[in-house]
Amino acid sequence: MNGSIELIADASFGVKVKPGDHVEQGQQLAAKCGSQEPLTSPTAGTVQDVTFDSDGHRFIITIMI
Amino acid sequence: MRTGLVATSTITHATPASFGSHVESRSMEAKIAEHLLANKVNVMFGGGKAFWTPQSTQDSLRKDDIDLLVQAGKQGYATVDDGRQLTTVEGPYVLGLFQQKALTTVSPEPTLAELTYHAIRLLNERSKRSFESNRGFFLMVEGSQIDWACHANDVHDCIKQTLLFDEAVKVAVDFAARDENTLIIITADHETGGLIIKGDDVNKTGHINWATGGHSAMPVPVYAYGPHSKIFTGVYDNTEIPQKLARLLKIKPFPRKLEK
Repeated sequence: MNGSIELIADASFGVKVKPGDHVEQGQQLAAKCGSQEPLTSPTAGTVQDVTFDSDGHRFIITIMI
Repeated sequence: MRTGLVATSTITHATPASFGSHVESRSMEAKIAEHLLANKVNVMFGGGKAFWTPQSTQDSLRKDDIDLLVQAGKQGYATVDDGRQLTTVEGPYVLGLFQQKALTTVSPEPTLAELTYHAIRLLNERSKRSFESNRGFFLMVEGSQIDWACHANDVHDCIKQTLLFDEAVKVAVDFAARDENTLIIITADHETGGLIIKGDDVNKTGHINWATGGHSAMPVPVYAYGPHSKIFTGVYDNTEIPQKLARLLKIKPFPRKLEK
């Protein structure tokens, strides 16, 4: 399958990946919004972009799959 | 005691929200706006008009038909949305929302220093005139976008936003120096980005590194000026700051138990 997915992470805890990184399914990427629970990748792919959304105080992680 | 909130974020963003609302999540900005109004914060300056207008209004971020600007007017608030109105507005309750979302922090929008100046003007004058005189005021001013610049690891914006905050600090300290009866506390709730400057040439941005895009565990400074400033010296948990302020303001008990 080709395409991309966007994942939303809490900005407080940063992001463990950067654009260009390959990620595996289940790999921890960051923390879920409003909690310290790990945000994991639902699929394998390549991180295309990590952008900070100031309005929501969150990171948007785009993964190409 | 009169109260005020000033921020370069939406006035319903997490920091100003924590001073005048109580909700489950920082994302509930429409509900936070209702709380700020219900709690009768005397002066509110910032962005986020979109959370105060009904969903039928262009750019609204509400999902209901509540018009908080109309409600604010009924509650006695004067509302302003540009720098010209800001310089002349008067009244015990003033709501200034200068953008639909966060402030741009560029001209012609009023600067954080100007917002701080007029917030102090309004709060101080009304305190002096008020029948319940000499009860003073509490004002929280946030340079909201320092954190944002550091999350984005943008050193140029980090410096710009810090300098804008520094100008606001000067306005507050100048007032306190004249007034001689005002305590100023300058601090942060956390550091963001873990900024480090490597080597001896700070003019080269290549010598600047960031440890993270998130918040760090770095201790933050607390600067205090004015009466009782000495109780803010030392190393302590940040939860002690509101406790120290509550003691000075003779607020008991603190923290209060939530009403059910």
